[in-house]
Amino acid sequence: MVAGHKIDALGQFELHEVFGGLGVYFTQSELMMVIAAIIVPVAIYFGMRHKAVVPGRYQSATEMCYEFIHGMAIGTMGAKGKGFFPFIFALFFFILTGNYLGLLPFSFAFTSHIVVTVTLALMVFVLSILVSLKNQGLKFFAHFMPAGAPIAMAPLLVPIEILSYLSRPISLSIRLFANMVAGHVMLEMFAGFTILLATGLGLALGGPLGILPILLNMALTALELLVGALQAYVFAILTCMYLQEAIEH
Amino acid sequence: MDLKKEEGVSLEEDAKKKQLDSFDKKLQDFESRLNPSKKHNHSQSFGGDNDLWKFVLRSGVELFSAFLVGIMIGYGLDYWLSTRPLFIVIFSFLGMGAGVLNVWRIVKPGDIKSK
Repeated sequence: MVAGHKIDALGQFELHEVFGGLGVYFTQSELMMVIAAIIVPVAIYFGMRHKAVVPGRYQSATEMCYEFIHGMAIGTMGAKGKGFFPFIFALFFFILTGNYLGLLPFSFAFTSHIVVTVTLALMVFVLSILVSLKNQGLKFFAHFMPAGAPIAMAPLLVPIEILSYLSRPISLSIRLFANMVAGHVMLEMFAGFTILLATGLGLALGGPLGILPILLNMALTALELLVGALQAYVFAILTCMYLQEAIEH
Repeated sequence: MDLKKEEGVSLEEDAKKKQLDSFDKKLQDFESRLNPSKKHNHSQSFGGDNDLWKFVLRSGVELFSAFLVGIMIGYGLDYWLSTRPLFIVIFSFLGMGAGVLNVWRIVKPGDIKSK
């Protein structure tokens, strides 16, 4: 019934070269990253250009973005973590813009590639280790032995603590990657159902029925908007928490 | 006529004030109810999400990622020392332990920072 038509839900994650003959393999993923990296500062620049005392709508929105991340960063890390605020801000809006850019037609969500999310997570992880070593010195390694535990248990507890610590970048990256992939696969699946219905049942019957998956896709798009913001927020707040641990202990 | 008018105005103002007062009280009540949970959220060093479904998603990822790290380290050690399957067995169990520890860190009541 559906001969010749298959739903290729994973084809959307394939990389293609966008600028041939440049000498480097520049894919649509990198293009989207560059666009996201440009959009954020440009949007902020134009938002704050007038520097009005009584802000307009655009300036208010920009200020709200700033205050939202500022409140989250300072609320989690305390005053000592002030220096990390630009990093958290950039991280949050880079991920958020990436998630939302991926929802546009003919676009690509670069956060749906684990290599991107692992890189972001490793950046956070290495930074938190460096901050820990700077603030605590070699005492940092003492945290891998839980206080009050008998020494005899150390051969078991220390590897578990180390594994738990090492699992941070993995869980951070898998969460973002899995959410984005799942969302985009679902969108593609339901969009595919419309075509399958129309081709399989004929336009007279399948056409009107094909509206149902479209309605569902509209709801899923709304859900994806929520998930995109939520995952960017979770990534940013967990980064704050790891850095807070690195600063405080 | 004027007196009546004034009385009417003051009565109206009174009613408005009462309404505002009760609104303030409600707001304070709400904030006091909101704040303890806020503090509670921040005290959880692993990211406080009290919503059940968020917790379920998070704990699943935590369990899985620790297990994955264990498997990866075990596989790497086995590959290096050619002792397959010794370390992959040991580290997969340690990874499961670490996963449980991660979930415990999320659900653990009280201050986790004093670990």
